[in-house]
Amino acid sequence: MQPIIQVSHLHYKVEAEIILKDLNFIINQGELVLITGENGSGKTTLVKLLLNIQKATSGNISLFDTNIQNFSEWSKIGYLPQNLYQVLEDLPLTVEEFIHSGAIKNAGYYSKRRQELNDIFKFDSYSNKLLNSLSGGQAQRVFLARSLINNPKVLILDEPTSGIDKQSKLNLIRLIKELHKSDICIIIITHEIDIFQEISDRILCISQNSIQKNPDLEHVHT
Amino acid sequence: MNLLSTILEIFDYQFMVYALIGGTLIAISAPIIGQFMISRRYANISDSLAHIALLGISLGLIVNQNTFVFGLITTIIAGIGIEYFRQHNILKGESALVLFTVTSLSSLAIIQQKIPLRRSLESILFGSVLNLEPSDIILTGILSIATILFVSINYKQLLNISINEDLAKVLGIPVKAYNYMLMTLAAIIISISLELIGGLLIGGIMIIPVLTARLYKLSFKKTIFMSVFFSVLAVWLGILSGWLLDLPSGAAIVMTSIIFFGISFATNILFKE
Repeated sequence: MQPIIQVSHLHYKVEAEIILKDLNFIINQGELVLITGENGSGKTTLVKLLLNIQKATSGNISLFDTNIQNFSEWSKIGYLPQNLYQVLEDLPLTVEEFIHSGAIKNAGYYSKRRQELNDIFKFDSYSNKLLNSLSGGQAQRVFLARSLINNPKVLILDEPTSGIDKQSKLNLIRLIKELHKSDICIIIITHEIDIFQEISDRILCISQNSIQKNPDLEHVHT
Repeated sequence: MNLLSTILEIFDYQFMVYALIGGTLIAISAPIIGQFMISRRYANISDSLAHIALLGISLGLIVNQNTFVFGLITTIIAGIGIEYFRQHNILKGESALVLFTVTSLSSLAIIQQKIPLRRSLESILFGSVLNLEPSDIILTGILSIATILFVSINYKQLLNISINEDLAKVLGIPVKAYNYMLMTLAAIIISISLELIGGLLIGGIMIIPVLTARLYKLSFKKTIFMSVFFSVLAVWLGILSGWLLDLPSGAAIVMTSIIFFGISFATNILFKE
């Protein structure tokens, strides 16, 4: 399996406070990896480092064998940030506008890919509605569709189950399970391990600023 | 017939024609920037930058130089400063706006008290159709068209930044640079609006039409078009009513804008029920 993300000796601190200490791991093509840890353990910080939104204090991150500082093929990465629904509550934005805004490739590619995603996520019937008028489950499907619009090789989902009901969570698991059948590498940041454990290949647990070798996963459930 | 001829008389006065042309240009560009500012929860930026522009104009009056240029430069510097504070987490949310606003207002008060200025600031506070000169119209035209062009060309990038800065960064959009550019454009639009609309009322043309348009729950793009429609109409009717009723132009324009908001709000509630 081809390594997609390689992290070595990654340190991140804010002023004197150590947030992440000596992280080392590899995530391969086609893997579904959970990143978990208690609230404030640095899970979202790690995601931001992997996406080059924040810069590491020291250490290396490589994406597709390229150092992250030189990496430019961002269409290969799909990302769904935490609490997007709350952030977009005030914005007058239709489903169509939202999905289209994420497209990097040309119009022909977009229209073909949009159709493929609509076959999976079924958003056509409400594509002209405003995002803030959707149910939590509908919004989550739209968010996933947008993060997949450029047909990425890596999909990073930060707390995708936050703010949605139980049925929507089950639908989300089903969709992620479908996606996992392809060679896409999926990284899910979550504190709800019990929901995703069954479909995951591996769990990375961050505790005391580092990745734990034998994590006490019961402790993470909140 | 009498009313119509009184209205048409507007075109006999050059300063009214300037006001209509300048006002229309401002009415097109201001809500476009306003939509992106509100999306970034920076609705108060118009007030803060307008107050800072007043300080710049006062400085221009003191050194006997072009007040417009002084206002523009001061506002751009302040806009970039506010954005710097926000990006570096020095002052979060709208705290930076408060800091810049009170600094400029207190400086303005001291200047007004200690140095006699050759022009009263009152007309700049509340706007006047008499304020616009032909050179202002040309500059307003160039800057408004530049703003509209910038937003049209970079619409997708600006929309992504409004949605979520992290998502925009992952798409490879240079978020910091765009935020500085957007703030510079806001500073420019506010500076060119100052003479006609007035420093204390600028939000009435940059923010209120957008809030009105948002009541119709349209797409992001249609909201922009709708807000431009409301703001152009407010400028025309405001200038007209100011002419007919002898009111300050800025206040008349903003009051018209607020009436549109009120009507839209009431319609929205009635329609809902």
